[in-house]
Amino acid sequence: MEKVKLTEKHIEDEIFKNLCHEFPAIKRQVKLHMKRVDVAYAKKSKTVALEIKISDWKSALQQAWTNKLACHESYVVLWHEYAHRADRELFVTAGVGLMVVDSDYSLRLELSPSRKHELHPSIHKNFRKIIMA
Amino acid sequence: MSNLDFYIRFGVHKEREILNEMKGYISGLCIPCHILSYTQDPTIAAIKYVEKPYFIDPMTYIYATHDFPKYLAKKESEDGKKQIKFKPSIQKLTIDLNLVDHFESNSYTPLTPATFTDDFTNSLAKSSVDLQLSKANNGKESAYKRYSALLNIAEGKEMNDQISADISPKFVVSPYFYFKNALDPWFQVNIRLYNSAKVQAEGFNTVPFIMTDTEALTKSLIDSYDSEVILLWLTDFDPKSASGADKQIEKLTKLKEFIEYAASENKKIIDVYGSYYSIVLAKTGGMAGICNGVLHGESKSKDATIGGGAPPVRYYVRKLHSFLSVLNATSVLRSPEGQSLLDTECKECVSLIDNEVANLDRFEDNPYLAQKHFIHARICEIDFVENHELEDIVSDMESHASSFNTNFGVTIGTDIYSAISNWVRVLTKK
Repeated sequence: MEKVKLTEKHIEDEIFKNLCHEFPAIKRQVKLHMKRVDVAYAKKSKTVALEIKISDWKSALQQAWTNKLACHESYVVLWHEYAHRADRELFVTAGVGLMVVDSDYSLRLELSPSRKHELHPSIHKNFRKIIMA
Repeated sequence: MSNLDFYIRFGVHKEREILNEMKGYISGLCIPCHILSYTQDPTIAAIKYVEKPYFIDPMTYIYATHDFPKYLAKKESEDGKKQIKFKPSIQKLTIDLNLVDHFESNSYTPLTPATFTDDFTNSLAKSSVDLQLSKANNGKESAYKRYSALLNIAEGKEMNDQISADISPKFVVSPYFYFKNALDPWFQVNIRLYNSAKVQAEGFNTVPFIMTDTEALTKSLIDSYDSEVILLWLTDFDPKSASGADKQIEKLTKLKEFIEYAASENKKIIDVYGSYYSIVLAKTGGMAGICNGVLHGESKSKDATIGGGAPPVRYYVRKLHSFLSVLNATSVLRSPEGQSLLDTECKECVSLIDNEVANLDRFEDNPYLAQKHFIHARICEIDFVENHELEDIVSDMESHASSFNTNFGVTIGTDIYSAISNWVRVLTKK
C-alpha cells in the first residue's frame, strides 16, 4: 500500500469521510467570519466544530475557543502520536473538548467540552445555516 | 483638538466617506503620491471633500528597494515586442517624476547612490516638489467638475470660486530613500535631496522624511536636518512585537530617547506608522504627531508591498491598544472576565454597538463601523494620555494587559501582554 504523507488535510479528509456516514449535515472548511472551521456538523439540535492539527495544540485551542461562539461543542482533534503533549487543564479552563485521531483515523474522545455553551445567537444561526444547507 | 497631530493615511477611495464624517477628529491626511498620480481626480476630490490639511508622501523609496522587480510588469507592445514597464500606479508616478527616460535607458534597474549626481538629485527634488505643489491645484477643475455632486458644488460662479481657491499641502516632503545608518551612502543622498527640495520649494515649508532602522536614531541624525518638523518611518520596528524582549527593549528605548532629544532641540517628530506607544511618547518626550491608515497595522516594514486594497476588518480594543478579530473581541468582551475591557468611557464607541457587546457582530459586514470605532478609540487614547500623568498611563496599560493575560493568555495568546510589558519597562525606566 502506498504510504500517504501525514498532513492536516489528509487527516481532515479521512475524518470527514468517516463522519459523513453518521452525520449527514456536515461541512468542511466552514466560513466563520474571517476564519474557517475545519469540520462542522449538526448532531441533532447541537452544532459541533472540529479544529484539526497534527501537533500544534496551542493554536488549535485558540481557534476552537473562538468557535464556541458558533457551536455547542467545540473540539481540538490531534494526531495520536502527539496528543499527549496537550495540556488538559488548559482545555478544561477554555471549555474546549479534545479528541484523538488514531492510526485508522477513528476518533477517540479524550475530554468533553464544557456543557456551559457561549453561543452568540446570530453567529450561531448563520453558522448552522451553512452546515444545514 | 489635541496637541498631538493625528493624521490618517489615505488608502482606498471608499475611505473618503469615513474621513469626511470623522474630519472633526483628525488633524489631516497623508496622501501617498502614487495614489494621487494614478487616480488624480478622485484623490483631489477626496482632499476637497474632507477639507483638512494634508501632506503628500513622495513614495520615492520604492525605486531603490531590493525587491524592486515586484513593481515591474512585462507588456507586449503593438509590434509584438515585450516591453518592461512599471505597474500602473507606479508608472503614473514615474511619469509625474520625469523618471521614465531614466529607467528606460537603464533597463529598469533600481536607483543606487551612484545615480545621484547633482543634476539627477536636483531634477528628482524639483519633480517631486512640483508634483506636490501643483498636481492638486492644476487638477482641481477636472476633479471638481467630475465630482461636483459629491462635493456639492454648483456649476457657474460657485464652481469657479472653488476652482480658484488654493488647495496646496500643509508642507512639502522631500523625496526620500531608506538608509540603514549614517554611514550608509543613502543617508547623504537623503540630505542632498532635502537641501535641494528646500531650494526648489522656494520658501514653502519643506519637511524631511527619515526612513531608517532604529540603530540610526542618534542625536546627530536630528542635527542633520534644520527642519522644525521631521517625518519618521522606522522600518525595523514593530512596537507590538513580542519576540526577542532584549532587542525590543533596546528599540523602544532608542525611539524614546530620540524623541526626547528632538523635543529638547524644538524638533517635532511625526511617526508615520504610529501606535499607542508613540502616543505615550508625546507625554514623555514630545512626539508631535502620529499617522495611521484606517484599520491598518501600526508599523510597516520597508519590504511591505504597496497596494493590496482595504485591510481586513478588525476590532480595536482600546484598553489593550490592540486589534483583535471581531470573533475574538466578541468572545472576550462578552465574558465576565473580559467585560472590563469594553470601552464604556468612549460614548461614541459604545453607541456603535448600541451598548450591547453581542452587536459587535455587525462590524464584520460593515467595515465602516470598525473604521469609525478605530478613529474614536484612537482619539480617546490621545485624550487619555493628554489628561493623565505618566504613572497613571502606565498603570492603566499594565493592569488591563495583565488581566487580559491572566484570563485569555491561553485562548488568545500572550503577545499583547508581552508587547505592553516591554512598553511599561521602558516607560518606567529611570
